[in-house]
Amino acid sequence: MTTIVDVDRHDTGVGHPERAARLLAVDHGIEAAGLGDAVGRLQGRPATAAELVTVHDERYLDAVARFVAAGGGDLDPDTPTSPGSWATALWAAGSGLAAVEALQGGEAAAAFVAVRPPGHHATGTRAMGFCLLNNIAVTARALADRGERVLVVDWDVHHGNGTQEIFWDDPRVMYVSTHEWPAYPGTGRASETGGPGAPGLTVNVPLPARATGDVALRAVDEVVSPAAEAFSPTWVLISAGYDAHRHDPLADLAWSAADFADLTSRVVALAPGPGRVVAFLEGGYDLESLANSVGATVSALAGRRYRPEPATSGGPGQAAVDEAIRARAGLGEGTP
Amino acid sequence: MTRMERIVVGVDGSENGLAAVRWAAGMALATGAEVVAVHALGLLDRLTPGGERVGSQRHRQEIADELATTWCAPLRDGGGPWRPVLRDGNPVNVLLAVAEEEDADLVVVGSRGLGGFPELLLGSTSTQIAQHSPRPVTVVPVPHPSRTPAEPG
Repeated sequence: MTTIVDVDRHDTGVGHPERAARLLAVDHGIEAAGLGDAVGRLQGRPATAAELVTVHDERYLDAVARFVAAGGGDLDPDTPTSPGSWATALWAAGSGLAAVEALQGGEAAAAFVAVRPPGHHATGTRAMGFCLLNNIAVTARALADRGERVLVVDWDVHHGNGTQEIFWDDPRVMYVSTHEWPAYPGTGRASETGGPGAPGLTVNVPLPARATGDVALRAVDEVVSPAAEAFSPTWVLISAGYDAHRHDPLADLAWSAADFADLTSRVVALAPGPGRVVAFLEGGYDLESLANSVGATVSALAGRRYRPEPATSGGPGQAAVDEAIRARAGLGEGTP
Repeated sequence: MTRMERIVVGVDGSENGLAAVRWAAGMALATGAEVVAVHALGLLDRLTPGGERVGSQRHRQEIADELATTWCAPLRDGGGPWRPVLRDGNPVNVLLAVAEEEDADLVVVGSRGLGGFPELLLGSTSTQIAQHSPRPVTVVPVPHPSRTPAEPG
């Protein structure tokens, strides 16, 4: 587990759901899972300018850094910053790289990167949706630049428009998302399948409100897994948001902690072997649900079974999965 | 000059948004244009003031009702043709997208959106719209609270 809880200075103000207490909840959730020595703790590191410019426009980076240095403020209606936000964002963006370095050193079989602010809405040139820098994209791009084939699975309840946009036309990275629809940020239709240089390498499964965990698992089994197996990733990165939990205040999917454990196991199986999976914290704003769900996820990453809540089933969404299957089939032969 | 047929205006429930709607309503009356009033639903829009948890559909309907009544009152009272549009996303992305879809002749925004850079490269919501829109843009200042038309300037 890589964390930045000790250096988190990103203050979003009173009442904002993306708050510092989330990282403490992550700690509590992992502790409650009783994993003991099965989980090690690693301090993250800040991303360098050279690492960030592989994803973000240099002028955007300079502008946000100067804005925050001048005291901060709102980058968009959802995204406040404070004087400590830029330094914290740099740590969040670099910690995935620290996790990869640890995995390559044989220190663990998988990593969970507990960071904030989250990243998957941030585009190359715009902060939005609580996100300043696209944390998972920085790591995915670094791996791709070393010749790796990277699968990004995004199960946050909101579509990762930033990650999709960044890798839209990059044949080295496959982006797969399940998310509530309609919902913020308004992207992520099943018909969005990638640019001309990477056809079929974007996979979207929009789900209706109240969809349960069994629907998500079927989406993974029947849409994500076949696509991922054809792509043959050498690394698997997860945008692990927990706002699809049934108690989350910002959305209306109906998953539970056990569903996140099952999803984790399914996604880990898409990696070519141990030491090739990194999960990044994205959303998740109900602290108890976040703690339970992260505990379940990290347990599954460690090969342990921890289910503080039962799995969910019986909700709507099967038709949405059928549509995603048809969207894939419509791409034709030879598409990953 | 070609006839003005459609004006897209950004609305967010703030005094700033109301000033933009008022201006757009006046321009529409003068030109006969239809007004499309657009609100971008953000993440924080999902939170209710009292922390009450409501379903997505109900929440969306509540915002839609607010948009069509209070936030667009000058249009409702103006008598010309207008439509409210509710769309998920960042205000800049949403306004630019709707302006394209509607083939807008003019985009109208308040000078200070709820959030945004006050300066620097990317600018506030209104500055970003002005920078990136291929269509004419009007940025409407918010009336100064200490001044009224009766007071000399």
